[in-house]
Amino acid sequence: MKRSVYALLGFVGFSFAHHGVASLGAVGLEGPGAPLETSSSATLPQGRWLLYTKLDHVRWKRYSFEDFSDQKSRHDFWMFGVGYGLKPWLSVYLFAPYYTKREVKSEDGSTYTYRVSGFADLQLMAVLGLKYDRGLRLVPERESLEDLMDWHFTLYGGVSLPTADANKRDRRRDPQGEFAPDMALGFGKPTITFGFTATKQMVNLPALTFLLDTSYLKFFEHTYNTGDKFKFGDEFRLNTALAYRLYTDQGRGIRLDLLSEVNYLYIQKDRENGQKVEDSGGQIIYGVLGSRLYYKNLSLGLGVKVPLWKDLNQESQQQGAEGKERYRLIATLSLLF
Amino acid sequence: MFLVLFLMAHALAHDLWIEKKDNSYILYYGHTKPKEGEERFLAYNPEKVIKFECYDEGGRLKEARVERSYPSKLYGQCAVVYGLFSSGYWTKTPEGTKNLPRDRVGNPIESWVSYESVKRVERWPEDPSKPLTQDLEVVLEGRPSELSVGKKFTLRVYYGGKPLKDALVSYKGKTVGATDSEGRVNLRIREEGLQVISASFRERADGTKADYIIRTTTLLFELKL
Repeated sequence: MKRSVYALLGFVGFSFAHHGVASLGAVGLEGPGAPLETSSSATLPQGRWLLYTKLDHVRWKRYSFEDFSDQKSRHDFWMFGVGYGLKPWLSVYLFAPYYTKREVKSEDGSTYTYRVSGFADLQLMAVLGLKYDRGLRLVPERESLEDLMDWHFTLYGGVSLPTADANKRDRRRDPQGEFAPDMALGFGKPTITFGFTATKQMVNLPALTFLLDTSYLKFFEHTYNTGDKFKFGDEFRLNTALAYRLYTDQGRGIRLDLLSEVNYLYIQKDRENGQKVEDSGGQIIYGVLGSRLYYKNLSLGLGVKVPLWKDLNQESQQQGAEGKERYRLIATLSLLF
Repeated sequence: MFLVLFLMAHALAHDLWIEKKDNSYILYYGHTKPKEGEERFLAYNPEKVIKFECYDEGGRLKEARVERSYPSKLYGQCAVVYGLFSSGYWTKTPEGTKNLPRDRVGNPIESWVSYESVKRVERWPEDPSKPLTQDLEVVLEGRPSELSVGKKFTLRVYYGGKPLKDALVSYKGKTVGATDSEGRVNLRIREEGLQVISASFRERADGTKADYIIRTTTLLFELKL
């Protein structure tokens, strides 16, 4: 069918954790489901636009100030995006992240909250859609409901531009500013991400969709105003998800999905002035439980993400890093037109 | 799009089908799966039957005796039986939908003329991908021997002997897709038995008697394992 017949929506999840990673997805009222963090293999219909916003609200685990004199408390990672279907098999996106980071810091026996807000680095992304239908081919303009149940794949790649302030820093305790790259808004250098997704809507149980997404995010070393050099550890992700269609009302254009995900994340150690930062990086497995509600060409997704397992480097020395969340609340809103 | 679906829903509200009984084929109009309060068979004026034809395996029109009555009957040994029917003009008014042209009712809201056809395949023609008529028609692309439950196959929709884009295609009453620029759509046979595949599209009419012409066709064939 024409990808718009059943209000087929392309929903892009582009979830920046503290460094950032992409997740892309799409779904129609009877087509494959789209999780919150795991990218699906859908591309935008040719000539159609997508407006997208996502909030990743993070509450960090807090410890005694004797153990950590400075502690990240909560971060809000907003993502605003626009996508366009250049071809049925090629979509392009522009994302503008907006971050609010809060850190509670010790000062002379009391504490204060350092808060930084602003737009982070812009990101450009392209998604190439493929499918297996009696052979591997590019995603065609039209797909029937049965076609949507074929294996679909995407290859995606993106680059972030260092448009945000990488040198923003707290000057309350030190007028020169404290060097803390993870509390800045930008990375100072471009980042590169590339990934692969696979999606399969079950032929004998069309309400169920299986999704897999793997990606790699590459950071480059940046020299800050202080003269310090810092490189965030590269990230590798392997996400899987199941989306189950609980309810549909074709007449009113409503669909409700239940979403469950298992997300694996490996983070390399950061490097500061050429030296590995030993208390950074590690491995985490997250669980995500959520739902997505569709109404015509709108989609609202809500979910909770928690670490199920972790193996962090010098874990006891880490606070406010991936794997050290109390929870993440994820909300997305998308509009296709 | 919603208007199209609305009109299609009207056009598809009644089914046209052919049943085989002894050595005859009977053309019925009504509801193959009647809901509560609906009649399975709706009597029709035999003059509404525009074509009732018999084709051989070569796709050639074959002589057959047609009894133009209600229900119309065709006697013959056919590979394919084809019927074309028009339920006439329909006009939506504040008082309801009437089986009359636009210029014959007061306060018309919208109107259409409906043509329905049905092609029942007893034995697949030697070239099943070739349309038999110039009317709206669904043909099979590929070999009939490859049809099986659970496997995808490709259909093409023709109108005027040319592939038709944007025709809505339904399988057993459920819309499953629309044809591409080559008139193609992919389906999957979900169960053995009688396969009912329909295609519809609309085109603009003169605006005097009707705003639109809605054409619907149904392909019927049996799949036995």
